[in-house]
Amino acid sequence: MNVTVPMPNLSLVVPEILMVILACGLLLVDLFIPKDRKRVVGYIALAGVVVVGVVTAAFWGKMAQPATTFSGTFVLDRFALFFKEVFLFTTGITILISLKYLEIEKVSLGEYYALMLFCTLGMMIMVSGADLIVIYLGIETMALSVYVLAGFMKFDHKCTEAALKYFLLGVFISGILLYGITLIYAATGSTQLAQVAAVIKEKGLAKNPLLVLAMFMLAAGLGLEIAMAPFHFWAPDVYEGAPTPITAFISVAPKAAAFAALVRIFYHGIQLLEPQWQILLWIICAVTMTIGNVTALMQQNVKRMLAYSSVAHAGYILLGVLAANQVGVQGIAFYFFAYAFMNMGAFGLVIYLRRENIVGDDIDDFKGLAQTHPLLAVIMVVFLLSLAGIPPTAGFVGKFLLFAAAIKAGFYWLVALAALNSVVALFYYFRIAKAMYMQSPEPLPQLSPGRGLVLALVVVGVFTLFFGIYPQPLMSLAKDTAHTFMMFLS
Amino acid sequence: MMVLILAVVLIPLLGATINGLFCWFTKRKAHIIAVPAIAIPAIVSLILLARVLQGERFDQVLYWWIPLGDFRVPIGFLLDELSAIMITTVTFVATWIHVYSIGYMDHETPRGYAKYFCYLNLFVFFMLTLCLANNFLLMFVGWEGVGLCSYLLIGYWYEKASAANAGMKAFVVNRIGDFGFMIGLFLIYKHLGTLLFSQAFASAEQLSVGVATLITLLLFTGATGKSAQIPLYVWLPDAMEGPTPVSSLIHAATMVTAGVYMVARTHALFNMAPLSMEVVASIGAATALMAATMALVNNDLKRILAYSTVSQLGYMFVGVGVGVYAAGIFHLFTHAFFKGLMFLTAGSVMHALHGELNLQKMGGLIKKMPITGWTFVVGALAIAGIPPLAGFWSKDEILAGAFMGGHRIIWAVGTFTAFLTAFYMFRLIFLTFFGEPREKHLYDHAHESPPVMTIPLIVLAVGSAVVGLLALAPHGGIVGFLNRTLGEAHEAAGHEGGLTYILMVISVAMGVAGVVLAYFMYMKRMPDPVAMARNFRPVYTLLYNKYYVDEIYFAFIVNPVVGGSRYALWKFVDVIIIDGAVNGVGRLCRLVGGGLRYIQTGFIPDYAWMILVGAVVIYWIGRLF
Amino acid sequence: MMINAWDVVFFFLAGLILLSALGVVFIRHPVYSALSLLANLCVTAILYLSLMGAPFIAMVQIIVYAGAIMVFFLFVIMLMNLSKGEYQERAVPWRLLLGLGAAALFAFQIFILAGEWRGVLSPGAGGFGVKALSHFIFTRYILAFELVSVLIFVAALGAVALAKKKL
Repeated sequence: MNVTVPMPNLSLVVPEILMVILACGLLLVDLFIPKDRKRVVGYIALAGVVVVGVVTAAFWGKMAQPATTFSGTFVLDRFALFFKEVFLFTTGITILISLKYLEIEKVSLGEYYALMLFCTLGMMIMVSGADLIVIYLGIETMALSVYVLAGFMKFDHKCTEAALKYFLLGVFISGILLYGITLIYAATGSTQLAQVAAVIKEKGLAKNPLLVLAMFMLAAGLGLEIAMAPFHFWAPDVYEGAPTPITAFISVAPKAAAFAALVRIFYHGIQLLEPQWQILLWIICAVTMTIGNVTALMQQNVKRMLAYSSVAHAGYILLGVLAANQVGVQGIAFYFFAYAFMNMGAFGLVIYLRRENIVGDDIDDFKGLAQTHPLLAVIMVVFLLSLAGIPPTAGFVGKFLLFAAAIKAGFYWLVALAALNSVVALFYYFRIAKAMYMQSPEPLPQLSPGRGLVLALVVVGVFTLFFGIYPQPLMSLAKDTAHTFMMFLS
Repeated sequence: MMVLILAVVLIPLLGATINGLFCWFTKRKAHIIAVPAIAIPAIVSLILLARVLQGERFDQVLYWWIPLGDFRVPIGFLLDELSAIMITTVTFVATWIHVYSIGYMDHETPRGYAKYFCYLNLFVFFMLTLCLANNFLLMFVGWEGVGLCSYLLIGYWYEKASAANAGMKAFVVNRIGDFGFMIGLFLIYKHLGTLLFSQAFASAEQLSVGVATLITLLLFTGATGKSAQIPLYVWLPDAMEGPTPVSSLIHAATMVTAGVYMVARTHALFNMAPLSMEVVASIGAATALMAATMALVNNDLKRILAYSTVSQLGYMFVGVGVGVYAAGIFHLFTHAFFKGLMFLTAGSVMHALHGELNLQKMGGLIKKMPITGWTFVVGALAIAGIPPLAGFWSKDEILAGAFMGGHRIIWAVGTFTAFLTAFYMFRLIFLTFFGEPREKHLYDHAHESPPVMTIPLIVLAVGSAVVGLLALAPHGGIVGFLNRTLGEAHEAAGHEGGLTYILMVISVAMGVAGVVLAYFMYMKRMPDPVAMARNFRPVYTLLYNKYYVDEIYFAFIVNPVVGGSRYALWKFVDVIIIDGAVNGVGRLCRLVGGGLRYIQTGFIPDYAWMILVGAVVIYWIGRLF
Repeated sequence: MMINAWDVVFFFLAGLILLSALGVVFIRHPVYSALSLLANLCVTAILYLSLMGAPFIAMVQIIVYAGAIMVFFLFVIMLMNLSKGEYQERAVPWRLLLGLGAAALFAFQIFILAGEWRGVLSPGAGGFGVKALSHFIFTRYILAFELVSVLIFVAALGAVALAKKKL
């Protein structure tokens, strides 16, 4: 048998290739850098991420039409590009906030940064995957790296326990996801989204229960990283136990990646099952928002509180997925940048409060911050306002878009529930504000943040406000993203 | 022009930001930032006013904040005759109140001092946003912003339970009003399809009378909250728990007049709804009378001024309600001067008497603090409507407008209230500054305030004396100027002839009568006020207890809704909203949250089971639909 | 429904698979439990071989899972040298009931779907032979193939990072 292997168009995967080279190179460089100067590895990783970010951004102009390669298993469109930038931004900020934290925790392994880059690579594959197998491999690459990162402080019991939990549940759900993929294959004879869609249309499989079950399993598989109910149980434990920069990372990037994959699979693969998945996501959305917010009310630990808050935010974002219109996709895209700003910022603040023997994640650690560090308190208030969705912050604009999309699609009750939930959310966010402004500080050792952390906080703080006051640039990018993405659909 | 407007709005914000972020650095020097941050906009406002006088106008959308298809949220400014007068008033009065605060707040901790100036600057920023907005949404942002600053400043001494209480009260009462305002905005967008003033007013005539009435009544609900009218006025007297310059700036001169400004700004809508106009005028008149009667017997210096403010705001609503919008705004303008002045003098008295506010413990203070005393007299003469001081001109415009417009009863109420106003103001003066000192040790320790406080008093006193004369300026004076935006009042023709002068004489006579009666009762003791109080005990008790309105609200609204509303401001937020121990919703959340936490056991097998069970349940629920 | 010989074989093997899987969960002794898993994997391999005609996958199943992974499991179990008391499971009936309920529901939904499976299933083009597989791997799924290498590398890297004695 003569097999001709067609040369795939490699130009579309340049960012991914660069990422692999960067990560492997980092491991090599790491060998030659002495233990007390591992910070340099971080700097190199950061520079590399910036380069990849620029290279990725350079594709934007050319990608008015989606392009595929590797026999259609890999697609590059503005949707993928937009989310890749979200991941790269988040990774960059995470590296910045890790530099000092790792020194305090006495972690001096260069593998930390390499794993983070591999994780980013996995997510980049996820959003570009046009084939369920590729998406699955992207998820696994991301997940494996994250499990290890979450347990990086291996002499800390809480941390290893968190990582183990994350790993076990992840594997459990991964099995379900794979089962879902096989069911799709069983029903349509393909794993490629475009072909799946074509077969469903051709054979009229829109109501096929096998596919409905598969759809449900795919949602479950991605739901773990999204942290939507009832797949959110791991989140609080893992968020609390993991190193805080990784918590910040987990709370944004994998969530964004899983959402992007979910949107791509649901919109491009099984869009004809829309009536079915709308019911499913409607229920999940309502439950997720409510559980996240209500449980967050009770938390005394800020990391746990933010974990539940991130569950709730997953619920809000599901509104955009449900809406299945252009504004919805625009909202999801915008929201993830906004969410990256504000959530990274809030976790950054927790890291800022990390001192010897104090993790800085108890609400009491925030007491009187307005008196001791007024600037820090103000920035935290900005993040909290944004998380609560109060203007003029990026979080408000994002929420506005998502709610508008859902209203446009006719989900009035769900939006009403979401609005009610936002009110509940105010209460726990303001508990932190109250601790900062209305309570007296306890005598604590001096804070000694790294410059990287300060830079990261300033960047995300400024962005949170800037895109709240003048959201147009980001909105128009998100609009382009949504436009090409939905155009491909029709 | 755009640059100047942006400067006016943003410089106070800059000041607030600097003092907010760097209070550890500015500390006691906070005023070096804060005062110029208001003074510069004040000067710029004057320049803008001059350019508006020459006929320039500015109405431009800076950018579309959230451009989303057909729903676009604009950020833009509108500078016309109305907003020019507003910003000039706000910045001018605010500047002198900032200066005064330097002296008044000197006992505060350094951080608290910087925080105070930060809030004050922030307030001015929001107030200017409110006044300069060219659309309903930005106006609403300003509206909420001034409210926020108001609560922060009322509760400035949040350790003091009464201050925190008052902040809570203001918060809750204003929410009720804002709710109406917000629904009004939704209706405007629904029926007119725009939030821009220019477009909304241009197409206002498409509205049916019913819709216009509904919208305007909802807007007016918002105004009753912010501008302390019946039935939502109850928060304002309590708001006097805040620092006195704050009472002067926010709760007398500027923020509380926002409601009047809003009605004047939306006059195109109100013109479509005669019924709403009647409601506005009637509520204004009723509030004016009711508040004035409550001020008659009160013994708390600041509370009398607060009731007086409520009463004067009532006058302004009478003005806008009977259609003489310009007169209402004119009164707003003069009132800012004389009421701002009177609060500052009250602050000066408090400063001298270590916080004492009871009139019955004062007396004869004019000898100890002549500047404070005499400037207060100027303010009181102005509010009493004695010519040629400011209050005379504006009040006369309103009353004349009411009479000419055929609102005879409202005119009569207004005129009678003018008498009451003169009476209670001079009762206050005679009890405070004249006669014999009733508390010897208080009197002995009294002293005149430092120049940093007395100079603003003098400036504002001069202002109170002369700004009314702007009515005599060429081209119809200030009223004519404002009418360029607000439209000619319907009975403008009636200004000629003897009737005007007769009305004028009547109102002046009322003012003089009030002063004279107060003189006889409180200086000569004939008739003796104590005997009067005894003889008219039921009336006296009713007035002294403020018509029991607070008690009624408490019994019928507050208590049923919020069982424990005596909690302090932050206690309130903490207990009711955050911990949710009192409020039912909160408790429910807590219970459910507790239950959910029980589910969160931390064991992996549990989680796996839970995921499986949850997934299957959701799947089957989904299948059922 | 017609029952042919293949169906008999299938149900027999499926029953064995289920039984051995239950054995993995319910047998308390870790070594026996692991042996039950081994049986499970072997029977699955037989299923591949007999019913699907996929000898390559069957061989891989035996070599990788039954061979390498099982041996690894057993090594770990023996190295840990658990005494009897340490693997007593916590008995929590409500969780068991809940789980059984969920499993029953899940089984029910599979059962009602079973009718729909036939006819929908479309066998992979080109069969399951080594040749066909390698053809796919190196043409259509070349990206996935490369990604697997990255994935394995990440796994190794993670294992090394976690196993290092020093931080």
